[in-house]
Amino acid sequence: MTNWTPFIYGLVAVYLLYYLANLAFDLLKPRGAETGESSLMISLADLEEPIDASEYSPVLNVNVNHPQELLSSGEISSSGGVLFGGIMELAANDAIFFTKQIPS
Amino acid sequence: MVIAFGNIKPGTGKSTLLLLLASYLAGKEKKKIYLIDMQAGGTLGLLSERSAILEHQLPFEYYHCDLSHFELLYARLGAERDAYVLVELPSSMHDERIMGVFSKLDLLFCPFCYDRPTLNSTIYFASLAKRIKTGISLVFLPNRIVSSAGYEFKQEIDALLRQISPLSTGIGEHIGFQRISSLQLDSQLIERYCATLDLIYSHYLAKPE
Repeated sequence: MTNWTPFIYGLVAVYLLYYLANLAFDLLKPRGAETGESSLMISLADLEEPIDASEYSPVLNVNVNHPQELLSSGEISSSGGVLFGGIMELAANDAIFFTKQIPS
Repeated sequence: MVIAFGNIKPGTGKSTLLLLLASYLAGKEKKKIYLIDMQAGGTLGLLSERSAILEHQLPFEYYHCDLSHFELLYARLGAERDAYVLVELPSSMHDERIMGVFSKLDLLFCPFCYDRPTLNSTIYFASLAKRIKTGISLVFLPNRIVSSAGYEFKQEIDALLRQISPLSTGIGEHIGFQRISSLQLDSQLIERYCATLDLIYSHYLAKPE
């Protein structure tokens, strides 16, 4: 039957062997591997969906052949007879027309 | 070129995206860049105060101006043809002097997020801009896009917005935006959005002569 003392000695010996093997492995390992050249870093923030250029409308909605612009008398400095409150009301109606189309 | 950022809903990223674009343009071109902040007590004002304390060498000039002084400031800055004037429009549109500002714009960016209240305000703002100046070049700019999140009815909303005006590629959410503490942006943040900004630049800013 084993005693406690040889058992502890045995355990210490096994641990020391393990520790030395670890140390030896670290020291003898080739240095080149430590430079981290092969390490791969993935930034999750960069995994975004690619930009879909096809969804771009290639031209702006400024139409050169637009009759309204050809007939324009220059820069708008007044609202053309509509009061500012009227413009806001018209805009609100437009907005209601568009927002109604959002499914809910 | 006068480029404005506007939306009647506060917090859609007008100041941040304006600052991002200004910093990007400063690195891209040698033109003069002016920032006009029309928002009373807005983000840009606070950031500029901090930049003044820290004595930052900024690649652009910052001006705060209200509706009554816009014409004067524009007369000074607009005289320089080869410059970028970036304007942050006020959130409140209840002043008819805003029409004078709209008439000066070459391009209007409307940043928005895909939540219902913001969409409603965005569509109203766009409708108002179109009513004030019929041929205005307005571009919708989706902001705070989280790549891992799904947005309900995104396709339908995109199609709807395209009926009104072109829709740009989105600006993704990034922690760097929350860490902005002065008008001087971290170069890494600009680099990160370089591809998106390049696309926006080539589509809307590079003039088709």
